[in-house]
Amino acid sequence: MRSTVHRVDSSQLLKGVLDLAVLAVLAKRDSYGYDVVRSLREAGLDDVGDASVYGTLRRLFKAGALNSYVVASDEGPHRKYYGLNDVGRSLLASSATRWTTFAGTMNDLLKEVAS
Amino acid sequence: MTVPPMSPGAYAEAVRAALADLPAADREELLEDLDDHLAEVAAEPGMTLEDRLGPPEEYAAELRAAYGGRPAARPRLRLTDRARTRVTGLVRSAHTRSLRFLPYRQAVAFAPELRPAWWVLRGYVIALFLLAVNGQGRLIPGDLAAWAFTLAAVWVSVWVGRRSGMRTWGRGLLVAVNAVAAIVLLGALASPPVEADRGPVMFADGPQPYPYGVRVENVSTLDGGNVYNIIPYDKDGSPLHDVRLYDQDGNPIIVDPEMFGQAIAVPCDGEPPLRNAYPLPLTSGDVREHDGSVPCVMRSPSPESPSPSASPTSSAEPSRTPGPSPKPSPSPSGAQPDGK
Repeated sequence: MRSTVHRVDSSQLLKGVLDLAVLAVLAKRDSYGYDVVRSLREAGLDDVGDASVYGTLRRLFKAGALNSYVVASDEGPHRKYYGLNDVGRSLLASSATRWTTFAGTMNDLLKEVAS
Repeated sequence: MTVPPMSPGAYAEAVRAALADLPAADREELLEDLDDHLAEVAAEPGMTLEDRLGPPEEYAAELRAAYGGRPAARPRLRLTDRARTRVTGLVRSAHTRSLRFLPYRQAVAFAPELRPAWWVLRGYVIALFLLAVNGQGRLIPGDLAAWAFTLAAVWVSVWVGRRSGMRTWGRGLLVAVNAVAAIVLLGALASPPVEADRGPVMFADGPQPYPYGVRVENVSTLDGGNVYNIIPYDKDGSPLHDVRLYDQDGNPIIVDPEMFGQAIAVPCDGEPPLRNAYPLPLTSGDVREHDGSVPCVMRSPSPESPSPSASPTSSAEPSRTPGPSPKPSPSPSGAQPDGK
């Protein structure tokens, strides 16, 4: 067995919660791929990768959590918009609850350590 | 050295190529709007696609991870690869361990010399297998066409065996063909096709089975009764000789005197009599040669023969000396000359 020590880096953390982050962005309004990337970066997730977001959108869509529709634009390519359906909304709700619990646990743990 | 920036199309193409190993449906699903998406990214001013997104291979790896997400979502490649490595590893370690034993080492050294023999056997077995599938289940080819087919299959098998550097699919096919040949061979050794089931040798243990080569499947027999000979008379009560009987389909009607300890008397100087020419010249089957066959009879009929002897006729049959034949009186209910 290989033993490794993990230093927390935000891209590793992001992997676990990218689904939740994308669902949260789409809960505000329907959006297309590159727009989701921009929203996440503006929210502070600078490390988020374009391919990760695109792949996550396609996977959530395939899993039936999103609906999608194409909007023709005058300048530039057609945009495929994604939005939450009922499955997506309930997935977001349960994931958000779990994240809140988890984050609370981590915060409690770190409270004593924090300077 | 400056490289012109990649167009979205070229970038997308490179990503597709890097994901070529994904199942086609998954890849289609994943990359459906990649071109539009990349065009959108490229429309951002300032940076090239590669500056913004990194090399296409990395982009593809990130896509794969994000789309697969959990490890369970990309089991296909991983699982088969793992199984293959495990199997080859097992085989290899077993081989290495067995090499400690001298007989195994000798067999390994000797095996390559057996390969041409296996090629020939493989072709033969495959050919017979294919012939059997087409209804000729036997261990040697039945006719000239079957022989030609078999020889061609052997030739192909040897040709394939001598050729080296097969492609991957060819090697897989070869493994499959080898497996089929081995299985068929083992199956045939375990239960060889019984030719007596279909050949014209139903009474092969009889002394003189069907001279003139009458095939059993083409004859009618008077089954069920104790009839082993037929004595025909005309309406005036005169015995008839060399009467040939056929059924409605033109098949010869034969009886089975061998089942009653009788044998058809074969003249020593002539051809054996027809099996459906009645009355049959029968002798008691008691007298046998050393090899179990019935001795031929000289022209004088044996006196203890219960059957009336044949008299000369105008047919091409070798004529036999007329003898004192018993002459029963004809009865309307049918001839019962023998009392048997």
